[in-house]
Amino acid sequence: MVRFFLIFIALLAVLFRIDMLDSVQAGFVEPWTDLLALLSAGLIQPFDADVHSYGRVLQSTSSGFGVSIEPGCNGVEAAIVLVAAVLAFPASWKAKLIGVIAGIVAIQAVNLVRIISLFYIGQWNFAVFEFAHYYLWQALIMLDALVTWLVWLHWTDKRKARRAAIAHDGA
Amino acid sequence: MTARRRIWRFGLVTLFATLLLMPAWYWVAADLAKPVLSVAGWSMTRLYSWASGFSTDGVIGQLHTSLSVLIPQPDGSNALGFVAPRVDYRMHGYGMVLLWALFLGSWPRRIWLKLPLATVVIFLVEVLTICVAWLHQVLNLSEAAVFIQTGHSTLAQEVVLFLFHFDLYITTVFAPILVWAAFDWPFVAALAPSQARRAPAAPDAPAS
Repeated sequence: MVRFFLIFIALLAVLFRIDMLDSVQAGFVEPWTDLLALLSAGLIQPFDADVHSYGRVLQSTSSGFGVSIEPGCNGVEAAIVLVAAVLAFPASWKAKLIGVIAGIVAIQAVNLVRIISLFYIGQWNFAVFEFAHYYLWQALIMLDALVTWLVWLHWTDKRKARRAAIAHDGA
Repeated sequence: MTARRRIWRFGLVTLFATLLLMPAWYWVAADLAKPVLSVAGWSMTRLYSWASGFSTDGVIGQLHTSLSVLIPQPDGSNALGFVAPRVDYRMHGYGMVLLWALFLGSWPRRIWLKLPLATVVIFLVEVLTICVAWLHQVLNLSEAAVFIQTGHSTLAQEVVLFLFHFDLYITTVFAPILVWAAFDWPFVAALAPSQARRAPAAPDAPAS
């Protein structure tokens, strides 16, 4: 447990420092954030044709209300936490790769729900928007990362036990 | 109960507990802010000679300093002012809700002992992140003349910049998970029994 925590904290600090680099922000985080705005608009448009995106902004053409997806709202930090937790846990590299990919997908899927829900909450009530934006969704995204990691932890352990049983039977 | 069922029950209970507790926390945030901001303000005045005092107003905590700054006036003259950074407790305090929700979700043995202890740990984390937020405003957001008055190195400035962003995006919301996992490791270990068998025996078994 102590070894896991120490590796995890070290990885978390290193990955977050890399995330803060200007070159990483410009080359990866900003294009990713733009893509999130585009995906959000693409998901909403079949139901609400008034919505469009430009850059990192998601906007309603009828009400003029828009949300700008800023650092902390693009799911990158939650993904960094999950990736650090998956890499720190003793498992095969294949299992870690699956955990990283599935984890990022799980976090970004919920993050799209966050962006779309905040877009509509903001048009309804700005005080509720601030509450949901700054506090509630921050906690829920991290809870999503935790549950995803627990599911992966259980899956990788079962996989390891199954392989051990096969090896034992074959011997 | 199977491990998969345990994870889903934990996730759902924690989710609903967060949804219920967060509005309640927001409602009483001004009362919860007072002790956190007071300990943070007291700590700053003990640690830094330029921190002269602090005041609280609801969820807002203001640090008073002896760091002077010249404020341009409409008539072209300059007035002397003092840097007084402000923080909003809520930006640093909502992790407490997640901590309580996680404990309700996993319901560890001796919860009545572990939860107050974990609450104290998160209280201290909140104090620390508020101190870093004040320091960030003094060292990184104020003008260069203010930074020189503090006597800190540029390395300290860089460290505070990193810690502020780390706290803002990760510590506040992730520290509760780390603290919960430390206090209820048997719950996590039970989901990976083969790993648990390799490690030394856990101090107590999972509650469910």
